[in-house]
Amino acid sequence: MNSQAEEGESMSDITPIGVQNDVPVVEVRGGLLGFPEFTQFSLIKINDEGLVYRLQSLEDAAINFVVVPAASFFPNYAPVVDDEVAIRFDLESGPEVLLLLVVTLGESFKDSTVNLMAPLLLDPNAQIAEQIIVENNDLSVRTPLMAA
Amino acid sequence: MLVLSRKVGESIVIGDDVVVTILEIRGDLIRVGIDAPKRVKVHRSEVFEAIEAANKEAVAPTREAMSEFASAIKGLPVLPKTKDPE
Repeated sequence: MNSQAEEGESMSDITPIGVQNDVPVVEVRGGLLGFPEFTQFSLIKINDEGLVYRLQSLEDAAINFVVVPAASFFPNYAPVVDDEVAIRFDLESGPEVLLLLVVTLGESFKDSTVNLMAPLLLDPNAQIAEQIIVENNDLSVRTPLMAA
Repeated sequence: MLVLSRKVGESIVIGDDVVVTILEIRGDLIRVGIDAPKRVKVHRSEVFEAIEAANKEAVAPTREAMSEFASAIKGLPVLPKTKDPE
């Protein structure tokens, strides 16, 4: 990854990672909690195996998150979602939806945490996602990734 | 802020279709029932706040942190194959 650019600069900040035509654009309905005004993102793979993605706002270069596929790190993760979410994403008929976890990067890898309480549910075909709040009471917004 | 006093069993109607009912008062614990259409999301405020705070902490990681994270992931032992969101 290119590290010569400074943090927080404009769109040029994201080009080294490679915003290409084949990078999927995802609409995050309602935005992420705390960031409702940003709904258009690109999902940029930053790891060849597809284990790490950068969710980059198309509206503001400074709004970006690291996300990881839940299934790769927490194979037993079984969030309970409310009926309304299940209907919106048509979970009953079992289309391909993915759960992505927002990562809070720590000083080092072992200090990095993921938010199991509010995963992003992604329908890759419709390219629509939503940060949902799961109904489970025993999950944390800061679960160490190393616990996986 | 609108302040109303209610007794157990009494309700407050918000808008056309949200009804908040005081179900029980036990010491400093008050049980509240909420009838709302499914499109209205109801959550404990601390859950909302915790998620907002986590998102704000997660936003815009430094390049260095992201780069270190990506290489740490690469060095991990075998992980189950993941489906590609693309």
